[in-house]
Amino acid sequence: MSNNIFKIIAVLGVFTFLTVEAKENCTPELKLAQPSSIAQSTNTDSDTKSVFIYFDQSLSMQGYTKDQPGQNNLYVNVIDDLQQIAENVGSKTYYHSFGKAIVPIKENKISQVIKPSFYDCTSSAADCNNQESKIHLPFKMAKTNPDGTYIIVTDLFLASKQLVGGTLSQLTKPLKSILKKGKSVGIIGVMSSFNGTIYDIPQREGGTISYTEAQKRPFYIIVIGDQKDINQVKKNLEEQHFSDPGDQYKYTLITSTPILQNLNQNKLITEDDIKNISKADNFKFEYSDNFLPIYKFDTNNKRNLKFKIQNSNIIVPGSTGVSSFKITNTLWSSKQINCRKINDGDWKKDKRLDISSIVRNEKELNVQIFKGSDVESLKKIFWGRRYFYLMEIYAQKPGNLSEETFKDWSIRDSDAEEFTAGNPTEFKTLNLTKIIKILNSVANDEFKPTLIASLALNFNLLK
Amino acid sequence: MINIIRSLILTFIGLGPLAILSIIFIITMTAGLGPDSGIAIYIGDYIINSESLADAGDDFEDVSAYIFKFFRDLNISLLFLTVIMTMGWSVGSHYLNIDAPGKAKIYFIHWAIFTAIFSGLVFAITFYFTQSTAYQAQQFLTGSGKTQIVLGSLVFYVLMYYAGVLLGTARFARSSVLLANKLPGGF
Repeated sequence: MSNNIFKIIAVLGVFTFLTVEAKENCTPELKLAQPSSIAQSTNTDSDTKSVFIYFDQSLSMQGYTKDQPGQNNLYVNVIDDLQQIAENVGSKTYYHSFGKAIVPIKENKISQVIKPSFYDCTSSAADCNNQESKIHLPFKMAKTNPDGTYIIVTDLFLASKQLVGGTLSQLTKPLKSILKKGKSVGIIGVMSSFNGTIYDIPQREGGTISYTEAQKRPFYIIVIGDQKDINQVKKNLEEQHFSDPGDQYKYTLITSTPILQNLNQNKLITEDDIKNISKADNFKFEYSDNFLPIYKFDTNNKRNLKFKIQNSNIIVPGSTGVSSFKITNTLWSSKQINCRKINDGDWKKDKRLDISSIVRNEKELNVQIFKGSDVESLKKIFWGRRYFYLMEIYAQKPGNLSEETFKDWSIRDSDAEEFTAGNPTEFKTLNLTKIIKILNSVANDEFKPTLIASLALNFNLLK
Repeated sequence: MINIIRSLILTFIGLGPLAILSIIFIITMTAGLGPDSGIAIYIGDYIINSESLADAGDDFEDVSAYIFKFFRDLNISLLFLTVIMTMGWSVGSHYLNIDAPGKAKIYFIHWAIFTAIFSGLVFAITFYFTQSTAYQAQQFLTGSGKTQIVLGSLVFYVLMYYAGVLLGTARFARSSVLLANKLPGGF
């Protein structure tokens, strides 16, 4: 008899505990924004992947192949290793040159790329492939077969007339298509020795001039493909060639998805991301079933709440970054403060929407919770209530970090003549910033606001 | 002793009209008011901050219980203080040492100080209710609502006190209370 009573009590006890646990969630009815898929295409199968390498065969490239006394010839070294780097990314490598058209390079001729003779042409100018540099051609190829990885080696010396109208759209259209498929474009700029002639430098009055006094000049390795493969190429180059402090190289990633990840999906939000919150009374931190981190605590209205996110956790390294973020806020309050007694109908939605603000620095994104224009502090909401605050942080607008990166290697059309007249030994790239800007604007067109983090505060506001 | 009891009766008569109003108000606040009643409408329109309540998704009805409790407790406190202080003066006036004609006028200073202390206490209580976090309702009040409560309470309860001491002060000490010596002989 007493055994049965004990069993009944035990069963009732368990049920009571379960009910309490269920009620303990203490959340209003939530409609969480689903993280938009961060459309980074990843073809992991490197066994079947092809790598296509395109060498700019224009005559201006010839100067990279001739050593300049006292200067480090990174072009020859890098191109030499490019074959091996390509093998790390894909199983088969195809080599081409491009100028007026794309011409395949036979395997036994690949080593010629670092020889001056590769850029010479004995035929008439009309038949030669070294008179112009139609960079849109490899982009077109990448559009046709987006599964491959494309590496373009060029001096990126494009006149303004190549960056307008139909010529420009020949470049932007395939780029748009590439980015839409989740691919990215990595641009690695390398300052190398140069001993040759730079052609087609525009003059103010019209016409062009050549320049032969340059000893150093950047060339560019443009990698089109998955972010993973681009990073692999960059990493290999860094390890093998850019280890000396004197080596100058720059990197940027043109991508429509400069967001690395959604922090919720990988459970990267921790209790320490809100400063000192773990010291609050009745503090509890947990993830709900739908990956929502909930900070539960009691506080008075004097508390400052700051949520921080490391930029490195959300921004793709080398990418344009994010220029603006947006927070969507939803605040509920309940006069009933005891979680166990709160019913769904007790939660009332606050009408104020601008509740928190964002302050950024180079390393972090700081969200100042309850420091918005509608709610300036916890003193602006009623104490003696339980609150449930849901915050969703979106990357709203892509940035322009990469334009800044290459700024000092760029020269505008209008300044080119004057710059050349100064007899520079280190020659800049024509319209580089403009090119990066164009590429970025195409990427930005494809950018969609991306949810980077959602979190909730469930707190009892004491007097 | 008879004079003291007589004084106390007169004190209650003096306090009576306003005290009854206060008691009715307290009872009303305890029982609660319908949303269409005049007092509720006045409180909703002029005393509480309807905008911030609306921001929080609330209206007057949602917080009326807190508001009524606030007014009830405030008025109980003030009524209790007023009755005690009025009775205190009325009884105490019988023990004033008035042994010569015209000496009662000297005690006007004592009465004025006593009245000032009473007014100060009324102010302190209303200030405590409206500014401290003792009552949740305090956060729903507007600035002008708080001023109305402080000034209204001060005027109402000082008036009640004055009516009480006007009638309740010992006959021989009436000169110490403002205008008390002008009362007809029956009082």
